[in-house]
Amino acid sequence: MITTGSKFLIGSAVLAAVAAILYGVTQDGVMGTVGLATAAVALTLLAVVNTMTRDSNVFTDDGVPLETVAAAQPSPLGGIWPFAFAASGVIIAVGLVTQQTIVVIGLAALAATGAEWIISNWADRASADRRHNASVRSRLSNPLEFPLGGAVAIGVVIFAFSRVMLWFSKVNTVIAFSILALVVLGIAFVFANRPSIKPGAIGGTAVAGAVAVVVAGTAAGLDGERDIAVFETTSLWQQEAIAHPEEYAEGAEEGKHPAGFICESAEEFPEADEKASQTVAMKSNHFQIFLLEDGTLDFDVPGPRDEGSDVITFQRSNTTNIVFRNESDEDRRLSLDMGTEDFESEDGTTRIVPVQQCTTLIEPGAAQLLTVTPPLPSNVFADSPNPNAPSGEGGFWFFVPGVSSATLELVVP
Amino acid sequence: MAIIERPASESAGAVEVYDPSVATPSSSYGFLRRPVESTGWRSWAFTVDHKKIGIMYGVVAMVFFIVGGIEAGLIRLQLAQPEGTVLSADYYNQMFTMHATTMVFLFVMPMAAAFANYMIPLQIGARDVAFPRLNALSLWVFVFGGIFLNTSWFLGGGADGGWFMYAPNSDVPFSPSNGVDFWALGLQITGIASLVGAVNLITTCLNMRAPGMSLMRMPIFTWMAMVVQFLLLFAMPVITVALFMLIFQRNYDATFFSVAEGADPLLWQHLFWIFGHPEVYIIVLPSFGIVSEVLPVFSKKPLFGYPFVVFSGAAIGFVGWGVWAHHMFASGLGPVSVAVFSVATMAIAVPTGVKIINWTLTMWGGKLQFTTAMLFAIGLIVQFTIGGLSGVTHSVAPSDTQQTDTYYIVAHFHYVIFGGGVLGLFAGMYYWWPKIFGKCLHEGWGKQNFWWMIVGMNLTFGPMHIIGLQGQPRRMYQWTEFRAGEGFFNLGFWNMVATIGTFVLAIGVVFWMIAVWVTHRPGSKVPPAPLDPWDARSLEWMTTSPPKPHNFDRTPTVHALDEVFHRKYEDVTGEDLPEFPDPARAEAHHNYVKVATLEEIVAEEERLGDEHVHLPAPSYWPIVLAFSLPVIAYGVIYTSWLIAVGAAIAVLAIFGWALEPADAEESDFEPPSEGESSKELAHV
Amino acid sequence: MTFVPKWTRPAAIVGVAALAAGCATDAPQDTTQPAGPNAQMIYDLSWPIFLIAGIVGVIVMVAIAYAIWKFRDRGQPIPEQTHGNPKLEITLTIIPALILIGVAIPTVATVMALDETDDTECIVNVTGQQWWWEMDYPVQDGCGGVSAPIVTSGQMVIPTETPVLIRGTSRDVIHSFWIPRLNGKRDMVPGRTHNLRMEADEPGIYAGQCAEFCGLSHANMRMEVVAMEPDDFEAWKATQLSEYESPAEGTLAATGEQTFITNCSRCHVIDGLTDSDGEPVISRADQQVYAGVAPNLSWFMTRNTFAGATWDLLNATCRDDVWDADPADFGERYLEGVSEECLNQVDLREWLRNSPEKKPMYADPEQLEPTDGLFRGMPYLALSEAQIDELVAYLLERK
Repeated sequence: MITTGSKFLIGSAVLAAVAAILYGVTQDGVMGTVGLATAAVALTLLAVVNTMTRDSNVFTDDGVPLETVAAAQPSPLGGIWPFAFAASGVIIAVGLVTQQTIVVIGLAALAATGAEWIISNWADRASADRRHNASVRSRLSNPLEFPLGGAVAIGVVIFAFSRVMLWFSKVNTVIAFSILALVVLGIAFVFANRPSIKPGAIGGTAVAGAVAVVVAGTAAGLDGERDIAVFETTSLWQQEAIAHPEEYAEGAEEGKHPAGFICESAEEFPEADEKASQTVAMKSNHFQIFLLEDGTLDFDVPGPRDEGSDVITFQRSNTTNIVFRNESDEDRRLSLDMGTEDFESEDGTTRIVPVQQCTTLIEPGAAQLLTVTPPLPSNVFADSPNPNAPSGEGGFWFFVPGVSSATLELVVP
Repeated sequence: MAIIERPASESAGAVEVYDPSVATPSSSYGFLRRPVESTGWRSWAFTVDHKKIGIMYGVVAMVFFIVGGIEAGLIRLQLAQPEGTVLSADYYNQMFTMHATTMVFLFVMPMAAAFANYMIPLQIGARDVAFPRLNALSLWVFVFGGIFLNTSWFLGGGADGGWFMYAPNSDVPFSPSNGVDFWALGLQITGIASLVGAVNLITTCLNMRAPGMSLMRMPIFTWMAMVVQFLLLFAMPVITVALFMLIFQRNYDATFFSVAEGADPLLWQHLFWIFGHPEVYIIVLPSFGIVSEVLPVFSKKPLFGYPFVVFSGAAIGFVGWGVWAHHMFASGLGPVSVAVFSVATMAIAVPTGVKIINWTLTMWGGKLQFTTAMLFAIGLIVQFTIGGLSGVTHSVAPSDTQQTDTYYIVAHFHYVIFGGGVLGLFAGMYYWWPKIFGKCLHEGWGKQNFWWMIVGMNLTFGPMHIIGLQGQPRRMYQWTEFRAGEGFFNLGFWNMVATIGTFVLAIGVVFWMIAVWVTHRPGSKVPPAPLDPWDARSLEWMTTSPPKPHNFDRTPTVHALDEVFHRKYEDVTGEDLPEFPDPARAEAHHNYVKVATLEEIVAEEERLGDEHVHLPAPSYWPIVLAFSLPVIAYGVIYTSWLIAVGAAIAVLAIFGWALEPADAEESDFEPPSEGESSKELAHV
Repeated sequence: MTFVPKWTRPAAIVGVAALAAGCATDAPQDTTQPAGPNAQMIYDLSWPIFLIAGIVGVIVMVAIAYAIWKFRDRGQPIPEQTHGNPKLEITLTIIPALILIGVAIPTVATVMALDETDDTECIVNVTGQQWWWEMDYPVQDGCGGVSAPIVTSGQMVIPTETPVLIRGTSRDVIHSFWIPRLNGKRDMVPGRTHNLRMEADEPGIYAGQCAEFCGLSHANMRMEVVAMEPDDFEAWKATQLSEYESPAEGTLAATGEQTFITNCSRCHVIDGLTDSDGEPVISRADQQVYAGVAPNLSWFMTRNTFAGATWDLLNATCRDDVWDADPADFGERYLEGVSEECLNQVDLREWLRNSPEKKPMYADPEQLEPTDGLFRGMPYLALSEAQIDELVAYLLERK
């Protein structure tokens, strides 16, 4: 079963492996080990391939057809693989002077074309029967070619398509996609109505479409993506201001963002407020807080609520969803002040900082969700005046920056 | 990995049957020869014969039935008395989770798969399923998945979140052991088995029916099994998605179910029950099919309203997709959803009721023979009716808010799944045993088996209606004396009754084992069964028992529903009979005269047998590919390099499989030696 | 062959269970003894359906039994091979469909009626966590006016004949709030608020049990609704809102206060408790337990259960006194709270000695890696017997 050539290669592989281990154990420096290990892996691979192809000689242990067929060896067929192999080498060379990605692509192409070359070469000489040779070739290579080729083809099309979509602006993406979908639907409609259409026409259309996508993708990819801004949350700005006050102040001076805590600011913060979604997914039985036109806060809770009650109660350590609805005629945010805490800076000093959470700035008529989980009861701060409370009362307070009359006390037992 | 095949030579001569399980290849190239053993473990491990695969499905399923039964017994022992101490809270939670998981995924589903595998090709007159190697893959994936799931017992404990595994209780902080990982990955693996099997059997049913067998002449079991395969095909992807989410949540820091990140835990419930409700029909429909085969045979009448039964089965399959939220009436969906799903649930009772009516009317006017198989079939009708009616009581959503998550529900679904599913599977076992093993199961022990089981199940699950209405919730590892109440309906008495019932039921199962032993023990006095022990009606009986590897000597041509009955009996109208001198009366009278026995029919078929039968060859690759899956799963749980090892095995197996032709080339095999006919060999 | 249709027996059991459901039994979680309008509405819908199901069941069973007896093999010829009777089948399909339509209409109406919560007059927040229930009364004009939040656990006190809105949620996994005699169950899902209406007709204690599997100690997560006359309810509120008083100096209870501050107040809140410097004691349960909260013990001895309502604070005699009290005196008996004579010393001391042993919880400090070092449940505190004596003395004054 194991042929002479395979024995040689297996032996070499084992030798290389032993040498690699010995070298690794006895000598300093990794390069030698890496080299020998690489040789061992490569020789193993060759040994496997060689064993599978049995020295590229179908007759090695099949004596019967030997006499009859040897003389009838057909001449090898022409093939594209030597050329493709050389072309892969060129790709690697191009990559070496330009970009690393291209080298990787070239290496992959080199491996693939090399494998194809070897298999074709072997199959050409497998027997006297051309038809049989073709069939053993495809039996060996099709299980590799089809999935890999298919994956590569789909990958290229998807990647190209994603470049096109990222090249369009956000709105145009939707339009482009809709048009494309209509085109696909239309073509499918035409095909469906003509059962007699030639398969070649369908295939040709598909190929043309794929080529178009790839060309468009290449063009779009070279031109670059649209500007994609990273969305930052209000809490991130708040944390930034607390953790790195100096850098934050510098940023404000440079005009990158307004000064002060976002939750105490009525101004628009570029990255947090601009990109915020102005819609709210429906949560069951949520609490609602309204900023009314007269500049006061009103609230609605699940279940009955008497007009007389002027504080809102949340449970401690409980995740509570509040929908803030801006019914005033200016952009506003809802903030919640939950007392203070000690903040330990990186230099080891401790500062007292406010504990605040807030929504993004939302347009009149819009809504935004605020999710809070108050860890402490509000009476802890009963005696420490809250700067955002009317006449400096203690406790937890909802407030709207820029509207001094809009306050609402939160009680957390 | 037979990479190099010899160039096709001239025909090897007038070989009649190439049965690779008996012939030996002369030459095969490459690394691996194809497996050729016709005896020993290799003939089972590498087989692609649907009959052997069916038997292995059945054996493994029965093993898991016993495992699940032991788990059930421990649960009932724990609950027999207040403040039970047989199990700790942790073990109890694992026990009920694994009991449900084992029974649903590792017993009922594969047992139904066993019958479907064995019977569908025989019932439709085919030589094997459409994709024999995929069939072997399904089996081994299921076996390895089941074993993988149960290894969790030895690796830190089984899953403890209930078989419904509601998020977020299934997340790592709430279930820190690896049990839930084993559960999710194990079900993922067995899910692959179900999906592959579904594709295979659907193709088989649609493409491989014998000439003349239109869809409306297909035996009813095959019909129901096919509906189930469609349900599997659409249901498994849903649970696959959900399980992937759970696996990523637990192992790769995903936040699908993290409430603090804004997730809604109801997502899991919807995904689970969109799978979980069709799953109920996946469990019971095969049994409905079996019962619809058994009742006509022992009533000597065709199934009453065959098209109605077929279409009600299909209707159940469809409507079953629109009722999942009735598992969630207490979840807080809002009144509109609850009302809609409540009404939809009532609607599904109609096609289910149709089946019960048709079964009853099949018996009506018949000639009933109470064999064990028939007893189990009648038992199914009765028990399933009870389960169905208690189901109607909680299709009424307000009523359900009192009953859900109590023992009333436990009672209900055990009447449905045990009464409607398991009893049918036992009916099938007694009915088809002579077909599969050539001997009838011992009827005396079989009747013991039936009565102990039916009494045991009613003693076990009947009292649970009371316990539930008295307010005992499910999944509690202990109940207290103080909340047990007094008087006739007190929880203490009925819990004890239920526990006793469990052991009566267990004795019934032991009697089944005794029946098997008595039938097959060395020196058993039970004679080989005749070819037609029950006077049966469908195509699977029109061959030897057990069937030959190639099933039929000649592909049968089908002329009617109940083909075999019509080949055996001829309708002699009264005119020809002396006792009906009055022609008017005589015409209305049908007299069925037996014109042929099955032995004669089968002998004739053998005489006219096909010259050339080529069967799919056994293969190593299905079992190797199946083996790679648990390796990958262990890798997900413990260490990622195992994933690479498993993936390497999988890739190797897939390529080995792809490189191997589905059929062995004829030149691989020598003709049987001189003087032996291949047909005789095939009997071996 | 003789054939006894034994399945009449299970049918009989189900039938009896269904029909006799109204007959008296004493299980405190009996679903067939409604004690409030919501449960009544459910029951009024359910029992006719049980009855219909029972009748249909009996008809089917009789038909099967008749067929089995009548058509058994007595040597008759092979029957005619009829393939069905479409008219009969369509009729037999339409009849159940009509019955179900008859059931569907009142079902939908009841579903809608049960969802109605606009008439409620009192709000109680109910929050599940592993493995106990917290009930708190937010500041409101309902419930006869609540001026400051009241937080309690295990037992929810409500006025009789007053529709109460339960706003339920959870702090960890899904739990289900279920008081069978007052209403059906409703899952309490983290991140969502679910409403449930509850009203009790008569004073008394209505038992309940978490009905959604919630992990290890699911069986030990119980709750009770305590309904009392509105006057008694006012008195209860007054107690809950009264000022904290330190135990008299030099008593065992005073030592117990310090023991409590050292050992318990990391998690448990007692409103108004101050340390020796007069500073308020602030519990940081969020740094100790996964759910972020431990039961508020301000008025511990006004309740009569503890540890997820799993054990009674009252000994057996006193407990029966309260549970079986005449509705007219019930409020009074309940408001007496737990006296030293009535205290269930055994269970409470066992609990303080080693709580994770008494109730399965995730409280092994070595195994808290998955929860970032947070307990799920109460850990073992290594209290000495003397400390337990002090704590019991201190807790006895919490009423």
